[in-house]
Amino acid sequence: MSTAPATSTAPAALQAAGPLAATETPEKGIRHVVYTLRQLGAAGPLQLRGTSELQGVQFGIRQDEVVVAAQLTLSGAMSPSLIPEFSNVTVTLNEQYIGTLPADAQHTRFADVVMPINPAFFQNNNRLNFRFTGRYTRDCNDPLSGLLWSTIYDNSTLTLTLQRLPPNRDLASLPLPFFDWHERLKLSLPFVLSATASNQTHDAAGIIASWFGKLADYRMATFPVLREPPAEGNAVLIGTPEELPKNIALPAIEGPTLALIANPNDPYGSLLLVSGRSGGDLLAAAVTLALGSQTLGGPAATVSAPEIKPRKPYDAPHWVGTDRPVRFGELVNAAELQRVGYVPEPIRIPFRTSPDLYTWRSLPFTAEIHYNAPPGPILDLATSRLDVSVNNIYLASYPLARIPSLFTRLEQWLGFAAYGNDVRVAVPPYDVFGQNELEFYFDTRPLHRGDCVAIPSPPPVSISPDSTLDLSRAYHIAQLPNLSFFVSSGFPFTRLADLSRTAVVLSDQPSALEERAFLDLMGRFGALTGVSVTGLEVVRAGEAARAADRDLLVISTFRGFQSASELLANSPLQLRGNRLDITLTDQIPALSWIFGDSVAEGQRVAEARLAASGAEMAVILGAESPLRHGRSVVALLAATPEALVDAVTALSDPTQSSLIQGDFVILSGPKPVSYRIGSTYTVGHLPFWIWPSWYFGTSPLTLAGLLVVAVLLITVVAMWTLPRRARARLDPKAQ
Amino acid sequence: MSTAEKKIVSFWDGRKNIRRLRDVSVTLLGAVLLAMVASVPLPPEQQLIFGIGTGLVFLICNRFKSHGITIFLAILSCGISLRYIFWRLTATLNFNTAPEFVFGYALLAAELYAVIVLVLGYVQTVWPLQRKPVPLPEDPATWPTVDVFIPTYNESLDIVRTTVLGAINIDWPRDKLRIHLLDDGKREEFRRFAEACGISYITRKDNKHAKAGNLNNALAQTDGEFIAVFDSDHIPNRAFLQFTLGWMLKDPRIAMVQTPHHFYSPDPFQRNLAAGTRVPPEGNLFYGLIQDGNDFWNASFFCGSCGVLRRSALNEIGGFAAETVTEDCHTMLKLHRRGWKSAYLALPLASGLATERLILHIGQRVRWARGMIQIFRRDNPLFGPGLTLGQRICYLQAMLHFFFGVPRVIFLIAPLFYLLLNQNVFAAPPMAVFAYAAPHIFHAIATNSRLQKHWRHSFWSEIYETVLAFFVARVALVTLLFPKRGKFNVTEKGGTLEYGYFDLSASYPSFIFAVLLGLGVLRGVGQLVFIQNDTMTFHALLMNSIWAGFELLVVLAALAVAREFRQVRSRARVQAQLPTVVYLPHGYVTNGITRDLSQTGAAVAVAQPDLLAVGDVVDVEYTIAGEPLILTAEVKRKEGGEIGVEYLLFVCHLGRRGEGGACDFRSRRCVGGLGCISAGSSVAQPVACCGEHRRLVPP
Repeated sequence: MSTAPATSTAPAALQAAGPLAATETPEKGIRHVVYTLRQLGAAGPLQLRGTSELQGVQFGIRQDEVVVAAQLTLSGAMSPSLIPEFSNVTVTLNEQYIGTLPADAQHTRFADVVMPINPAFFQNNNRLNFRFTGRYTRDCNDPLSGLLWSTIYDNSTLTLTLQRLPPNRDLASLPLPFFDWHERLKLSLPFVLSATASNQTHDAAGIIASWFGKLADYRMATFPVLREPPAEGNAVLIGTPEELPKNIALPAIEGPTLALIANPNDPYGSLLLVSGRSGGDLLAAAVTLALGSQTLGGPAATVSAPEIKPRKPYDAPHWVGTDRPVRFGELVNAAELQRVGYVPEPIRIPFRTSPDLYTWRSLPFTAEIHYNAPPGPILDLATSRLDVSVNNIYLASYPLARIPSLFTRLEQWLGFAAYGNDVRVAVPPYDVFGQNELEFYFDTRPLHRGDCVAIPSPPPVSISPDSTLDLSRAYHIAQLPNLSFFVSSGFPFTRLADLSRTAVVLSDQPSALEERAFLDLMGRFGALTGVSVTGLEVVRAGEAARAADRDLLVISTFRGFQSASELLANSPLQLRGNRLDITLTDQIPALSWIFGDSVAEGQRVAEARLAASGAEMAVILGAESPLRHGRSVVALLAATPEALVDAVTALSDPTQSSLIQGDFVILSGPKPVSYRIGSTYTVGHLPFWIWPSWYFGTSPLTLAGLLVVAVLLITVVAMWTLPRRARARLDPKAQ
Repeated sequence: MSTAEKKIVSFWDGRKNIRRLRDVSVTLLGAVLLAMVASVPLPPEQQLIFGIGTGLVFLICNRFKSHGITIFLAILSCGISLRYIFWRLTATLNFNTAPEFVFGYALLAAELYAVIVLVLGYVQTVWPLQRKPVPLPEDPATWPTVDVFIPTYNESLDIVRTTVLGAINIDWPRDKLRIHLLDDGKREEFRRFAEACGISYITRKDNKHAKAGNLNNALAQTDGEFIAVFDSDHIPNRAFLQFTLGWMLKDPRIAMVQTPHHFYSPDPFQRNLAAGTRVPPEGNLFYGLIQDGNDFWNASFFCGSCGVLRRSALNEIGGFAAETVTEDCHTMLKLHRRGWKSAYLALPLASGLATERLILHIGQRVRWARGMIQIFRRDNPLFGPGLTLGQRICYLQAMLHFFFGVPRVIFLIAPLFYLLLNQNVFAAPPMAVFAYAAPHIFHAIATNSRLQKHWRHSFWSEIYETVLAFFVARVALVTLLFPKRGKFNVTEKGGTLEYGYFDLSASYPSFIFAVLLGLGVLRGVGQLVFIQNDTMTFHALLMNSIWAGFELLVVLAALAVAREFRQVRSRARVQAQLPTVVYLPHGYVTNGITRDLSQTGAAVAVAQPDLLAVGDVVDVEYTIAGEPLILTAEVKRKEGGEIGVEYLLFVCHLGRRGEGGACDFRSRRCVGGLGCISAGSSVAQPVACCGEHRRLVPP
């Protein structure tokens, strides 16, 4: 059943944690994993109801592994009011029967019900479904009755025993085996880098990390950095032959080289070798991998750097552009736009935008939506409706079908009422930020509910993939620093999605953990934009001035940043040894009393917090670059390398990242704390007639003053010219 | 021209150009800044702060009387209204239903009209010229000849007689003053009267083109250098020609000098709505401010009466314009197009009777509206040759004014869309509407109140307009579509009214509006009081209820105007305190002061009322400009120290008691010489009768 409803397809960040247990038996290549339903993608307990009787989870099995044994351990509850012989929950895997949970009025709860699964049922993509059938009376059941329910807990587990297959090392099958689409878990891929890696090696590593990050997308990715190949599993190996570990048999390096070689510590593991005679070769190899991996083949290839077309600002493929209306079909699969059921799971359309969108007068964006639902006889149209919301903010409701009255026909003719089910939804720009989701919630009611007639099978509903979202009204302008932009979208660096206007500043001697933080962040950028960071430049703290005309992204420990601390010149922060200080801005008390000086207040509070923070502290700060007006500096600084990695991880944790804003964030303890301590600057472009709205849109008294000045100017001219003219009027000779 | 002279000239031109450049660039800078301020959106709360700020600027500035400040405040008001309209156009036109669309755009159009008229009005009255009369040459022999035209159609001789007598008594060399009674009514009585007065009587076979045709007919039969026109109920002052012709002689390009129409009787508004209170007459705004403002732009126009025209100018355009029913304004428009100038003297040099009853007033305004819109359609001042920008603006404003009926009706019913039909004609939160509209309305009202404070009280315009709105709206729309329809209707004046009554024919639209608005207010207040509303609905209800309540008040006032109070005296009374001497039949004499005067009697407070009894026949002596005037009268009533007298003989001879001609007032028959009494500006001014002219000194 391909249209099975009620499976959560939301990118589940919570899958971050790996399987509950994964044990490698002495037999090489066998492992046992235990997944909870939540890890497999359930948003919470599966709530089966009379009208939403089919729910489940989707999960994948890696292509280089096969399931040799599996079992399901279920916990949950079922309504005590059900008639046992007519009521149960049936479990299927890929539509193959696995087992049945019977209704039992005496035992509402059930726990640890074990169901073995025939390993042959597994495919690469699997759908584990739970179908609820219930009757609380022998005839005349109301499907909406509250008595019809069952719940499968999300801590129910699926235990798998997996056999790894011998690796097939062919560049043509990249990104396999390093990344498998079917896996829905966070990608963890070690990078092997030399402790003396050059800037270009780091650059190449960043490009490859962002490529994997882009592939992992919502699964997210982390890239632990090692100095030697891992004891088991796969890894990426980057460096010139001199930088690479000595114990590995390298192919001949005669230029930019990409190769798949065996992990010397694990016959099932593969290493992706990115190498070359020089740093330039490394970059060429990395760019080739990022842009043209499809053209590769065989176990090893010597490549030449592909031509890179310069990107235009804001053209990240993961972002909804402002140049044209975007079809929903471009944002999600058509299958995601369909549901079956009276009250199905909402249709969610996630979309990312540049965070610096500004519309004049906050005029709304428009979504032209065409939706489909069965007409009258099935649904009680008077009460059935479609609710639309964006980022969980309710926008509007629409009836599912209309029988146009004469008056409506007139309105249709005048353009006020839509024909059929076309509606135009206004999306306020202040409800749209970097990462967004449009939600469509169909709430339908069957006819004759409660009557003693069969309810028709659940109706299909859908949103047309030709519906559009139009952001073309927006201008790109923003007041920076704004770290919430950085967290949600990597802005301002991702303005050019390949980071060709960005330089990453690393410590003079980055540790493996610092390098990991850098790679994790690049992976995140790849996921945010959908583009590898092929334009990136990496510099060391001591040579930051070389990248003066770029936006600077600093990833470093306090100590490693000493030699570049002048980059903080536009911020009140000062780095003294291994600690940060805030230089309080001089202020005139009376003025701050009148105008309210939130910045000085922020400085005082932040100073106190800094002093109280422990050794495991990290900060993020934003400021205008002291090297070039209009360029930005964002610095992730930490007292220890571990704190730095934690800081980067926090960026992709929704509960923490939502707290990051302002221009200074302290990450110490469970929650980040945000402050605004410095001055702001504006980046972006507006047509000249919008500039006044941007500058004076929040200062009414300045505006009133300007009006008085304008009126005075005209009055002065009037007083110059009118008396002269009046005199001339009374003098016959003057005219 | 020597090189030195050339240098001086070019230097001067250079200065002038630099000055021009400076003026243009500073104005442009101001205008760009103004447009910029208008374009910046603010959230409602901040817009409210903006409005309070500019309101304070107004209140502070308004404490200073300088005309520069007035101009500043007018431009400020333009800026605020521009901001409002910009917001209105960009943020409030998102409608959900067809009725909202239709009503919403209708309301927008009405508001655009109001703002355009507001701004053009500021331009029009930016610098009232306050022209003073110019003295004539010393030697009366050099003064030009003047034809005085008194066109009449169906007015009674009673009314026309006074006008003719007033004209005869204008101080002007006898041989250069020719008075013509132009009777389109072809009445024998009038012919005999003209003969008796020794003036010319002109009539014609058809009545083609009404008043314009009548005047043109007389124009062809006369040859005076100048033509003064008086409607048959406008009695000229003796000084009329001497004060007006000075400008004609000083500037040979002036084609017309206009003076105000002054009314010594109350108009229907004063009489029915504000009996006993001092409210400026309705026409004061036009003659006090607007025509004076027009004069600055060389755009004051002829008003059909109380004006002097130059024959050579009239000949150039083929006489009075006959294409429209407002021949006066159109004649001047044609003259302006030919480069002639006009002048306006804000001195009441003639006075007349106001329209007495509302329905007549409405008829008159409907005619004006029809005529002005005819001109708008057939000879639009925006297009065509010969006019300056200022003239185009002033004429446009004069014509646009008469479209006021349509927007007024829309404003009247606009709150009802929400209160009765639940349609949101303003697609904006009520708070925002308030924040943007309140400063706009405040500045418009307050600035106009400053500009017009001598001429019209605040909010009276609303009443004037509301009374006429429906009728004028109808005629405006019809005329806009069919400009050739409509005929000249003569305004009746000088009637009496034995009983007060309610004139439904003049007020049924107000009646309907009042009922609807009343229902609207009831619904609004009812829902506010009895039903729990969310904030948005509460604000909307409150705002619309207040709006509807205000409109209801205006409509009720308009209804009150239609309640016609009785008017017994056929002669209007003028409040005046004149010292008098009353000669009693038995030879006693007592002093007195008049309370009021009319053409047929007076109320006099006498020093020794005991000497007098009702029925006594007395002689009342007035002293005017140092000369005595004696009238024989009967005491009609006596209350305390005040007696009411009615003249028996219409004596109008200067000199000692007992001398001079007389006419029997009751029989309306001349006994001796010609009788005359002329009401002047604000006091009754009996003037010299049939004597030689005197040279008058302009004020």
